[in-house]
Amino acid sequence: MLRFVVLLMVWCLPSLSVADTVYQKPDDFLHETFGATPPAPQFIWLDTKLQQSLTQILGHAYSQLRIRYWRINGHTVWILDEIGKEFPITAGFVVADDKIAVARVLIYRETRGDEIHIPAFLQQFVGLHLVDNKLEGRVDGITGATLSVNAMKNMAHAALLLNRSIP
Amino acid sequence: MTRKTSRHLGLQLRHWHRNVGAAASLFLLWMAATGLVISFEDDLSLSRVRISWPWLMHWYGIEGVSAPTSGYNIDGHWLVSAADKVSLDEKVLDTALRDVRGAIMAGNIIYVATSSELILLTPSGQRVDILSSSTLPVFTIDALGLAGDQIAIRHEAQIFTSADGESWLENRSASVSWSKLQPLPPLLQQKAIALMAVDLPLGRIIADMHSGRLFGRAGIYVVDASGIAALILSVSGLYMYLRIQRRSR
Repeated sequence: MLRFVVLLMVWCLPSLSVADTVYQKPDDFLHETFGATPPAPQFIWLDTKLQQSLTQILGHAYSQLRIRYWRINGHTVWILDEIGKEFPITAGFVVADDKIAVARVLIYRETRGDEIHIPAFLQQFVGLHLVDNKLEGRVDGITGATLSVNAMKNMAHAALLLNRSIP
Repeated sequence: MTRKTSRHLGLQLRHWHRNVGAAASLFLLWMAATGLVISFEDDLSLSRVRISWPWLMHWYGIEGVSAPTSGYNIDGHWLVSAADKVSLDEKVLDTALRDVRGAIMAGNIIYVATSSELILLTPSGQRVDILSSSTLPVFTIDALGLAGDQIAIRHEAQIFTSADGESWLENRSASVSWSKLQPLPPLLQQKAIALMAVDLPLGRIIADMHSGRLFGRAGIYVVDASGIAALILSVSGLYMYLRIQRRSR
């Protein structure tokens, strides 16, 4: 019974999830994209109209009022969080020419479904773009990781929309 | 097999099939119903529904948090933390925070420091941003305070100040008013207990119902027995079906 209770207590500590896997630190993702000296971050504040658009994509308002991004030479980098099943997935996206150029799972916190970090799966995101604000392009699902796959697709969609919204 | 033996076996099997079926029917219905729900767990977003019924948490053996007796008074707003839940003015924040080190208000933004992050909130509790080690000048925040209208963070002997949390300067001579816990008014203590109730995702509870774990080891054995019953029913049912088929030819 004690072991049962201990296991449950571990389950109840989301911030200390034993499933946190850091595939790549956000800083390292920025350095990979921009080299040794990434540009200073800029901010986009989510006004009512933008939050409504994001709500349509995500099914809920984005969890923050502002999102930081990095931009140089027409490339923008977005690091977003979205809940898969219970815990947030942190993902990085590079957008160039209004298309996803790079998609990466940076931090995965769920207990299963982490197959989405596999490069072969993420390669499907390259080239995704918006047509009439809808995500155009095919991303095959992964059995048993439906919510994680959907979270990645939604974040890619959000990154493309946000990219269009910056001056 | 002689005809007599075969008929006897058939009667025995029908007897077992009937009795095992009757005995196991409720448990099999239970497992079928919970199994169906589990199949649609993602579509129903069951893991996002949190259940905090005190009797159920007690059954699980999860004790609630004890009444918090202190919090951070931020210009009249109270920030209270217990386990990984934080409330601001009696509203539980969506952001789970652990190890809160301080909370201050600067420029109409509430800054809450944990050991590794600085969280920016509006006075109504909406999250503005989270600053982590990639933005902060330290990996660990020991304390948070105000140096005039500047935000100050400390790690060991180092003190850094910033106007907005984005660019920081080391400032060892800064005169800082460090954020400190203060005794909670009794009324807020009581409200905090209700706010900070422990909970479990509904998907988890249904999975425990399905596996029998909800009822401890005995529950698991009952589910195992139900599985064996389903096996017996399948074999006996199939045998009787084939027997009838053979007879009808």
